[in-house]
Amino acid sequence: MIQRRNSFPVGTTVITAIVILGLIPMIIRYINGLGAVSNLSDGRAWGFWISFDLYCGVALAAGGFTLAGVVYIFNRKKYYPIIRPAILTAFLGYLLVILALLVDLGQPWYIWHAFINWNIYSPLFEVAMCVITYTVVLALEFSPIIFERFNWHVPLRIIRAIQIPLVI
Amino acid sequence: MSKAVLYDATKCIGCRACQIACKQWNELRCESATNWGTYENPPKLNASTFTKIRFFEVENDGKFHFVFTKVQCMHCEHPACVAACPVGALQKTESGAVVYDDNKCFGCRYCMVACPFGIPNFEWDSPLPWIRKCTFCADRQGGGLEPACVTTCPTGALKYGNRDELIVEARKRIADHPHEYYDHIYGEKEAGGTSWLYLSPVPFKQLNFPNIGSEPVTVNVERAMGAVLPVLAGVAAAMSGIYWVVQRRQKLSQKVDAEKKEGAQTK
Repeated sequence: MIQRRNSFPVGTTVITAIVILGLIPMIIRYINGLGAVSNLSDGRAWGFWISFDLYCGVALAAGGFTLAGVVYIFNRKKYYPIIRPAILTAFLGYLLVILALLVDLGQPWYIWHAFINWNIYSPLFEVAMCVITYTVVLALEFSPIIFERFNWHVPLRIIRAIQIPLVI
Repeated sequence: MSKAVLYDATKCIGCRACQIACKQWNELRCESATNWGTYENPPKLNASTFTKIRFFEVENDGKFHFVFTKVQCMHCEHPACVAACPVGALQKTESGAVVYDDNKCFGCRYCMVACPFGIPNFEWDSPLPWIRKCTFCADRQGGGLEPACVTTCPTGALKYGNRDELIVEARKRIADHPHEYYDHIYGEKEAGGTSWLYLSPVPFKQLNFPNIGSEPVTVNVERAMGAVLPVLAGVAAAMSGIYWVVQRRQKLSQKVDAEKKEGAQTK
């Protein structure tokens, strides 16, 4: 029997609605500036805004990242099946962080300045480096799934070889 | 030689010419303000107001004082904003000014959070906002001029010069008129020293000056950031170690299992 699935269940509809609602302030931000949508001020430059837009993504990602790391390091084969969802969640988490940054930063198209202008004494520089490295690592950890889908053996073998150092 | 400005609250008459001069030189737009019961306006520094005079009516030693203070970037000797900026858009120049580079900043606002005086401001109403703050007229200083506010001050309440000389002069003023001054130079030691120095007839606490210790704000940051790499290396080593041990243990137990199996077969 073919299982019939509603391609647009209630949950998805609600979430899509929230996403569309969220797009509206995003557009307003690019027209009228951050002050119009965030209620931040010179006295509260980060506020709740940062806690929600960035740290939710980081928190979401940290769980998956750490879990995958622990499973790989302790080499518990029993838990291998949960690695993929964990990595996917973490990867999406960091993509959310970067997406949020593109809204939050005053000059989003200068985000690459973090690559070229280094101030090693800045804690936030360290955070920027972490976000960059974690995203790359997660993308690489996630990539075998894509390679497998398209049967690309060479990159798959490379990833397998560097997997453990990568996790560390 | 590090330059500085000495602000003497006993000489300031609250005319706010410095505010206007600053707006003119930096080509900052005017703000619409409302009367909120004082001559002081606008209420706060913001992206188009780099300096302002604050008005205080305070009582000290049973005497009434109508005191003014000037607020702007303090241009710290060890600026927290410079240490905080992830892209190095804020720099401390040799002349003492803490300057900001539009071409590097990407608008993360970390400097605003880091500054102990709450000085850097953000263009909240712009779609592509920058950080804005007092530049110590670094452009004018480069051309051998004083900052615009100092040039315009009619009473000599602002004095521009070498920092060490100004500290000596401030001490002398306090020694010559001990009854007119509160015995403290704000900015000499605060936050590791600032390029703006203040004299006042009343304790600085009464003028809403933040009470900041003499340790530079950046010391802890540097300590913490210096530890990052060693800690990172340590964690990586520990994880590799654990992985190696776990691997080896599993191999050994597999060997043992295999031997047991072999043993069982031979029997």
